[in-house]
Amino acid sequence: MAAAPYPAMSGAAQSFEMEAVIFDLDGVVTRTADLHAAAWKETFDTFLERWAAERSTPFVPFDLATDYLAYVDGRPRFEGVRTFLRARGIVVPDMAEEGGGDLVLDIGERKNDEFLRRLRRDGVTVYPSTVALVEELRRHRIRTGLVTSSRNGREILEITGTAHLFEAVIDGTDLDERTRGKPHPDAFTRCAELLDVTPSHAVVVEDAVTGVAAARRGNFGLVLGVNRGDHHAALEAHGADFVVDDLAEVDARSLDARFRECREEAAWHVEQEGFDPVREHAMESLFTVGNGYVGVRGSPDTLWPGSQGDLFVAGVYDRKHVDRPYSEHEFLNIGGDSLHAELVSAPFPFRLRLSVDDLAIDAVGAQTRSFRRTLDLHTAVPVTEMRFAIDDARAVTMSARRCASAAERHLLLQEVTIHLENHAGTVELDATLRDPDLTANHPHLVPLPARAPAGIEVHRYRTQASGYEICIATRVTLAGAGRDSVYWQAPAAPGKALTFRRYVAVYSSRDVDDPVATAVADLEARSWDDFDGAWRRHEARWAETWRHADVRIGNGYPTEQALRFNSYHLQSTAARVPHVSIGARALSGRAYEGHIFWDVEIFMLPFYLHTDPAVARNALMYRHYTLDGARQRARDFGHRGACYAWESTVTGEDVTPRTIRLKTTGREIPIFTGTQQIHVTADVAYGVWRYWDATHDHEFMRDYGAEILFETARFWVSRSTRGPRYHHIRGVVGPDEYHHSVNDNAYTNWMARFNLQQALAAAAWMQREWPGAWGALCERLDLVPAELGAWREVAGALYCAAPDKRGVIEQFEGFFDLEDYPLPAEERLQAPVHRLFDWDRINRLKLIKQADMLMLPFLFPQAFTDGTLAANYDYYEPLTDHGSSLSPAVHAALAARLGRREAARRYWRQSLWLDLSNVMTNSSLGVHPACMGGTWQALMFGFLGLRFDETGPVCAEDAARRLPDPWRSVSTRLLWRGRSYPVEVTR
Amino acid sequence: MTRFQSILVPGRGAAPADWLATALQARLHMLDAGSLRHRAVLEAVAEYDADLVVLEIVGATLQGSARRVARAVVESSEVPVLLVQAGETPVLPWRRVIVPVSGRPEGDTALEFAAALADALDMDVIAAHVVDPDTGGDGLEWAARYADAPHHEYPNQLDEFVRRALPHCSAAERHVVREVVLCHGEPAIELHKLVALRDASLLVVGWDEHLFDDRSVVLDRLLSGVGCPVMIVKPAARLPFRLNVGDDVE
Repeated sequence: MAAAPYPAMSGAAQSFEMEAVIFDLDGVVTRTADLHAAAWKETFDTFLERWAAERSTPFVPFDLATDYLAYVDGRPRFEGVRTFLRARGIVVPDMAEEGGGDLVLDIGERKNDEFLRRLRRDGVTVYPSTVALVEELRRHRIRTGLVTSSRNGREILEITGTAHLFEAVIDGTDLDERTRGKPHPDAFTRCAELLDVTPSHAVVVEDAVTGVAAARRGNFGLVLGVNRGDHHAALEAHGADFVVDDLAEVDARSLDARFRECREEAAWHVEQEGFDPVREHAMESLFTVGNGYVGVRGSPDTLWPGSQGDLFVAGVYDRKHVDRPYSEHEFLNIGGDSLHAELVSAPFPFRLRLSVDDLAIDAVGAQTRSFRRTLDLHTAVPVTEMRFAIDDARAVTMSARRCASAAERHLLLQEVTIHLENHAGTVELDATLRDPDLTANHPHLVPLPARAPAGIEVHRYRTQASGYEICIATRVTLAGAGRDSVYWQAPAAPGKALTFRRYVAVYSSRDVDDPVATAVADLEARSWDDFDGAWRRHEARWAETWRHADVRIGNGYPTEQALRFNSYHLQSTAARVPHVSIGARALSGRAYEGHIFWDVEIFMLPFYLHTDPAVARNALMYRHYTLDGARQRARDFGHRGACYAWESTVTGEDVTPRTIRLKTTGREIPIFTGTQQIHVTADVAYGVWRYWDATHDHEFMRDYGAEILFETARFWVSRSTRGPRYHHIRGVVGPDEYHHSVNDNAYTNWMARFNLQQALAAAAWMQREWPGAWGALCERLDLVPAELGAWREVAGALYCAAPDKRGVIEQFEGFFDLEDYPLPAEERLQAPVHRLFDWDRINRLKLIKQADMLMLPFLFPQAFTDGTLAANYDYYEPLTDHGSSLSPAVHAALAARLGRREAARRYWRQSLWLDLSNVMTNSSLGVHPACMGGTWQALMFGFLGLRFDETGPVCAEDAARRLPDPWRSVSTRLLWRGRSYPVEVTR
Repeated sequence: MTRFQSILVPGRGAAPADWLATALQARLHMLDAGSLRHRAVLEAVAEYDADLVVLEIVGATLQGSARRVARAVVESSEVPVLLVQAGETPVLPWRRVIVPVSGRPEGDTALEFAAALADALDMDVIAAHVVDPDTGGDGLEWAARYADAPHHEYPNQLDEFVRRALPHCSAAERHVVREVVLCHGEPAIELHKLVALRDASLLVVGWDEHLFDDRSVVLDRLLSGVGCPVMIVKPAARLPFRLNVGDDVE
């Protein structure tokens, strides 16, 4: 049904962000609620009177004040009948059962007949304020729709003369299995489809709690409740963003203002509705809390059997062992053995067992009626709200919040509130952190005895091989009880919620000599009076974080939301202590075993440099801390200097396996990265230089950075071989891991040359600025002037391929001669598993896993003209399957610079939403912080074309033109050499 | 008490049915051969509250009335169907069950069902992800992709197949799944090879909407020469879930 054209508003056009408004009919547009209510009462009373007489029970009439609103209002007719009869204890067979639907059908049809009789007899009135609002919206060209459960919806619109007001109508005749009635969101989302708007760009106006709940579930941008009776609070409780008594209280402009506010607020939250065990592990990753020292996956407080509620302590690793695998299904790793091969998982520190009236309740139990989990990105606090129905007469709600304190890195906080909605009963809470399946769930830990003072529960563990100790201690109280215990049994009643509070202290022997004594002292020093203060300190620290970590996108709320989500994880996992760095999945999952890769220096470091340089410094201090391991590794290869491990953990030794063996077939697949992906050494040096350049932290360079640059420069001189004209680096794997044993990889050689150049620059700087420190360092490293000459010679003669006549730089020697491979579109970003089996064949193909040569213009934009960049982008991009999450962001940045708007937008969105939409289907294993860092870089250095000069950050002249639709602007603040600068680009 | 309390055998008796009923302590309901009409079988499924239907098939594939019955039972009643080839002498007791998984819901359901059955019958479970190189990207379902470094991603992805299929099982309970194997080749052939290699007693597969289509050859390929009974299980409905992010994500 198409609405009649409406005259547009004259004069200056008002810019609205809401694109459509969808109205409920009964109670919003028309005053049919009275007719419906009267028809329901007439019909039900007739039935109930007969029912009571047949059973000799008292007749209890249908109550318009309670029964109508609770069981019937807003629901599809037959569903309303069923719900009310069930509430009265009248067993209603399923409609599908023989004869089962007769009773429901009969009552429903009678009610409809009665309603139509009254409608035709008495007519129906409309709310003039609603009609006025709809007309105003139409004049502003805002689309309007109508949704009603009534099968008479269209007839009522015709009778009332309002049909022309709505471009799309869904009524009860449109409902079926695919378009279910309220409280399902289907009818609203279908209406939005008909209006050609996404729900988040639309407003729903509803007067029934079921309708409000449906719109909330549908993720509509704004849900406006109309309180026609006395259910203001109920409308808010079910999801109305705000409530009015009549639509005369709003106009198009004020409604749009509310819509903007809601959208803006929604962009600070990530919300999950419903609990799906299949998706739960991915949700646990997304809702991880962390502070750089600890990370805790976002499992529900009431753990369920399949939960992977891991606690990770940064820097605590243990030996991988076939009998203590995380996941040794099918694959055996051979080589890479180490005392510190695998990040250790410890028991979940928010574990609760909750029962009401002796019945255990949890997220996956049959009693669970609703589950909502919301991550407030502002405060870094996830809140879980669950509602349980023990039976028809006993409903329970539970709300829980938690955090890993950003202000006190050894502290975790948890608060749980239990409310018995409609009955008095006994609540039992068991908050012990003892894991009954410790061996199976956390195989690296051996429990040790620990003495604990009264009121504090202490768990002490030692890792099996590496011998680290971890202590997790907790105090729990019931608010108002005045004592501490992990076991509580307390009476509760409606209006008397029980609130439990928990402190958790986590220490490891990597930080303190006696983790137990330190944890106990920590908790003993805490007062419950300061519990809220501890939350406030945490929130204040995050508020400070967002000063630089936040990016505002004009007219881009969803993008803001995703960027904040990424920044949240980058900050949650940030290296807060100097001896640890950031693993490939941070502290959010077991995948990659917590190993440290080039991801940190190349993909994450720039984010920290300009938002929180102390983190960047810590990440580089880890490289200094592991320098001895890198030296040993160079010696193991027969070279000088320091060669960083492709995968490292505690000491700097390489923990990459040499081979994997499939158990089923015995087939072995070699892993070349550990021995050949040596560019990581130059990547570390690049990170040192970039940190120095961005911060002018000269003390760092003098005391730590220069040593890294010198030792890595030594390695490259030793690792390169001299040819007739050039020095060469042979037998490597570049970022593109599909090709092994290649010579003169463009990325590796370029980065090695840069490493040598920066070592020479740092040496000159030290000689000039810090001659004493220079002399001491030379003595300690046995560095003589002639060695600098060797660096200079290799830097000047290291083979770095020039562009050919097409402008293309060969990725490595002989790449152009490889066999062509027509890459199917479906294999992009979804590398098929047979890549694993075909590794040797792939080595001979022009098939690239991730940006390799294209990394160079990404990292050194000024070194490549647009023409050279275009030639290389056009050559390599079609050959790349993006088998790594790191690849799309690089392509997005380069495409943005080249003005390839569609490609830039597509790649950037893939990168931006990688975890929130589970693009690579592996977010259950942990989030992808390097991808998040790459996404941020693509925005800053690609779309904005940002560079820094002596005045601070400078955006590209054409930055505004690079912005994707529908953005109007990008603004943020960045740190550069100790000062904070605003950055803003407006289209 | 197990979840398998009532077994229905329409048509001719099938060899493992008696053993299953005894091992599971389930009631066995036999329908005469004239009742091999799908409506009659569906009525019997409802009447006897059957948890499992055992159906004998003649020949290498599932054809005619047996196909219609199997389809009706699985799709309408959602009760699993065990297909046993006539004349095949079963090796009893069952010791090992193989389940193809791919991260899709049907594989999850099949594995969950197989784990429960294995628990009741003291069997081992082997989950197998078979990657078909000939179908390229088409053969890779959304949850079955692997990315990046094989030694980091692949084992975890396989492990996740088990975890997501058995969400209500603790880590200890999941150990009924003894192996998760990754195979490379045409799925039916690889599964047949695996059945023979592991001396499997049973293959449990998840139903999808095309499994019984007349033009679909998947089921026929699977049954032809498999060498053990095949169980078909329909996935349960997914729970309501939504991640409220973005405009068009989720």
